[in-house]
Amino acid sequence: MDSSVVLKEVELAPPAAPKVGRAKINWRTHFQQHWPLYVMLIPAIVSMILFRFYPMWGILFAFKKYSPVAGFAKSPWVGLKNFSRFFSSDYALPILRNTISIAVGKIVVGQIVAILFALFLNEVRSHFFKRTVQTMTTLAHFLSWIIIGGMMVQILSTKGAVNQIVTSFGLEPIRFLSDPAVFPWTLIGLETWKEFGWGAVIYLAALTNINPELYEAAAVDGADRFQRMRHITLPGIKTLIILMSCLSLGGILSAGFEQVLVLYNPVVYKTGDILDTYIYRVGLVGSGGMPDYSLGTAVGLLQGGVGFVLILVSYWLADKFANYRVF
Amino acid sequence: MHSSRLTRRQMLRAGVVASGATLVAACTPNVVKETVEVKQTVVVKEEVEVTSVVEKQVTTVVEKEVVVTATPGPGECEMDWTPTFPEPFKKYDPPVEVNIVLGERYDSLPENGPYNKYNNPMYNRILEHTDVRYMSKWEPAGDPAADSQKLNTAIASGDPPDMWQASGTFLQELIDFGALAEFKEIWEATASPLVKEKKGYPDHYAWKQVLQDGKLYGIPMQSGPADNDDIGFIRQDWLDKVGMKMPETIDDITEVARAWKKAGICEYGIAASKQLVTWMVDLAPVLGAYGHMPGAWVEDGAGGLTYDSLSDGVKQALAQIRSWYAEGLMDPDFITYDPYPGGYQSVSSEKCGIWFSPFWNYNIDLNVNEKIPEFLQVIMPYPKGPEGKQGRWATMSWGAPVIFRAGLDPVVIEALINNLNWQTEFHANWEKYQQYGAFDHDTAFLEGWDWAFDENCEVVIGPYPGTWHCVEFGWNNNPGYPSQQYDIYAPAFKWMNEPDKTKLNKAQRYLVSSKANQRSVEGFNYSYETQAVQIVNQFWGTPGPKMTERLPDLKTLEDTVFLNIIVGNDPIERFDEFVQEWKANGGDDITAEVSAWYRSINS
Repeated sequence: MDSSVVLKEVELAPPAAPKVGRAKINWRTHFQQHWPLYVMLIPAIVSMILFRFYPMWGILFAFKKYSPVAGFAKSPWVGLKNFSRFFSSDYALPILRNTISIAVGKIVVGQIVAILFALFLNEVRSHFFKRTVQTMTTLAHFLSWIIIGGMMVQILSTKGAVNQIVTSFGLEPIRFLSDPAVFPWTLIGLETWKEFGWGAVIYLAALTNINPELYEAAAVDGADRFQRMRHITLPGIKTLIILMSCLSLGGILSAGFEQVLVLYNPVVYKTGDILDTYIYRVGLVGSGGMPDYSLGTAVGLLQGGVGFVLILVSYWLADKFANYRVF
Repeated sequence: MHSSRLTRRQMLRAGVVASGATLVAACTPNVVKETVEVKQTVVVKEEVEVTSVVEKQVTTVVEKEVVVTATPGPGECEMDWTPTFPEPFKKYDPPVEVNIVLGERYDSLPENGPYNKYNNPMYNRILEHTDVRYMSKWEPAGDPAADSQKLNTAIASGDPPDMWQASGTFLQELIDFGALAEFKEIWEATASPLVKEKKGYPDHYAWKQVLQDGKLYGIPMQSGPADNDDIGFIRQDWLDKVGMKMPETIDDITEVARAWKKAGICEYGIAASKQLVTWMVDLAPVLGAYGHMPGAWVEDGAGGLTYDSLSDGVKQALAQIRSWYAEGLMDPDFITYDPYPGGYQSVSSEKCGIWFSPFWNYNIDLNVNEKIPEFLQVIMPYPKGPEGKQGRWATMSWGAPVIFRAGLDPVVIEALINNLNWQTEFHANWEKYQQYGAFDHDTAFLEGWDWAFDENCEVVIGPYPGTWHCVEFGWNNNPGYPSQQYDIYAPAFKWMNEPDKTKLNKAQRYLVSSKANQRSVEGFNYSYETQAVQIVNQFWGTPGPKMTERLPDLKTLEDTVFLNIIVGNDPIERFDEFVQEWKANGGDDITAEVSAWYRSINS
């Protein structure tokens, strides 16, 4: 068998389900057949309504000057004033810019590192070593940012472990947490370090679906490890990569609240302050003991609205490039 | 074929071995080594914004081994003092019940003790002598933001506690929407002459926030000018090492820190934390040396107020701090940590030897002397700036007033005021009542808990000292009047200066023999006597609409610019741009608003 033909076939035919026209469903028969599944769905639907849809009336706060003392009904309507207040603030644009750039950085770097890690780990022969490494790299995902943040402030300080290494090469210490130019990269790097093991899990799962015969055939034809990786493994998970990238678009306005909150300080507000931390400072902490719930809600609603549009776009992209549909 | 996977049999075997090991470990007798957490608690007030004061608790956990020695048996030693209590101002039968939220510190009860939240010496004392039974409306989270959320939700749902504290805009809204009880008549008839005198009713400016249109909506909780202002501290042992005298000016401080660094005594020298002016380990007196204080509204000379952060003196001070930072006399990472624990640790871990904190922080050396015996902390005079000025941030002399919900039974309000009468009498005359627990945050001062007799029948520290701040809300540990701390320390000061200590009783000797207590009194005295250097924020009213809307953003701008100048990310000229930006982005409007308020209260 000519290996080049096989390789070409793999590249040309990604493992995607062909689109099938929707058949008409007889709901009565369908329900009679599958009713236990629908019953099992009830708790999820109830909790969804209770915790996701019911609190949505709270978005009306964004259009009021809400005071807890006056209560919701007596607080005056102010229309779009809260939104215009946010956009007239000097902080609106930098905060949006920071949020998007940090989130995009995290998505791109995080994806690349997770994919590379999965690819290389897949090549490891020792099952024990592979499992150990995978467990260790996944561990950080389960630790909260409060714990990791506290450690990182120490490790990344001017005389911390990382800078000890940097200065041992005769370089100037890097101000990870106090240089506005470096801080976003610190956030991206730490997020990637914490999550790449977890992110790789899905890719490692996908890799097990690739037919081992392809590797064997390629090896027989003289393809080395990198060539096999390049021509078999990568094309095998290409669809998944596209899918994951598209789906992560929805989170582009959430750049990681807890992480930024534990690591930032006023010196790096310029490049490190994001929408979530702004909402927290204004909407929950407030000034003079008086949180500005309405402004916080308005900015949160804005974030939610943009996120909703982006999810629709990502869904469309996922369908277009990866044939992925839920409905 | 060999597999690296564990088989089910191997798993079971491992499980059995692990369980066995656990069982054996659990049955092994414990090694008797008793360690006790001695929690030294200090209540401090942190200036959060112009109008709010948040109480914070600093807890130092000291591990120490309890040495059990042969002590005299019960009845072998006698107390040579007789604690008594003030007479109840009025009896209530049955006792009145009050739902409260904040500041309940029943968690500081010793574990395994006979007491609980509603049965302990402090709680019982209040119940017995004032007939007020405090009930917990809900559990406080301990985090000011979370607690304020919960309170706001309760108010919004029409179910607030019976009494709580509020200030600023929040207080004004509560008044405007009729959510608070008006009780001027009850107050006038019930409050004792001593309370009215101590709290300066009705002329002290703290009353202006709650006395509106002849009606009274709250009782201010005041503090004294020396209670929480920064004083300077320095490591005397390090000064001796380099043979230098006590620094008196900012330049002297630079020289000392430089000498320490050069001699390899410490890494940096001058301690700071990420807020320039805050509740401890900050740089307020350095800024004060240039005659100005960021965050304060000061008189502009034309009858109005001006924001002191914009003054040229602040720029000069920033340039000075910037030069310390550039020279490595400050921790390059100080902007990443809070005053506590980061700022505190920069001193306790010997990175810095010059710092500014309130008088109750005059004990860092005592906390670390076991490990670092040579550590000697002494008071450093306020440094003088280039023009010989000295200054410190004047912490607000009043916190959020205590308020009652609308519709609260007037009898309950009356009982609570009588409770305040009793507490004030107790605190102002604790020497007369021989209640020595009043000295240290009002503990019950019980034998076997706070203190014990030693083999010579002298009073020594007990196994659980200072653990009785059980119902610390409003006036139940702290009646909140300006001279309160003075009243508490004045008798102790007298005993400390008594040359013949045999004239004192055992409890008095115990109090004055404690190094920590001596330090507290000495530090307080210094802070009290130097109050002339205070730079007072003249704005204490309710924030107007412009301030509410614009100040949060402007405060962010200020923090960002000042710290970036210090760490060298921005040039010092950025300060001038900041002044323009501050004014253009609503600062001028706020200044006009604040000045109008100032003129109105002075007219």
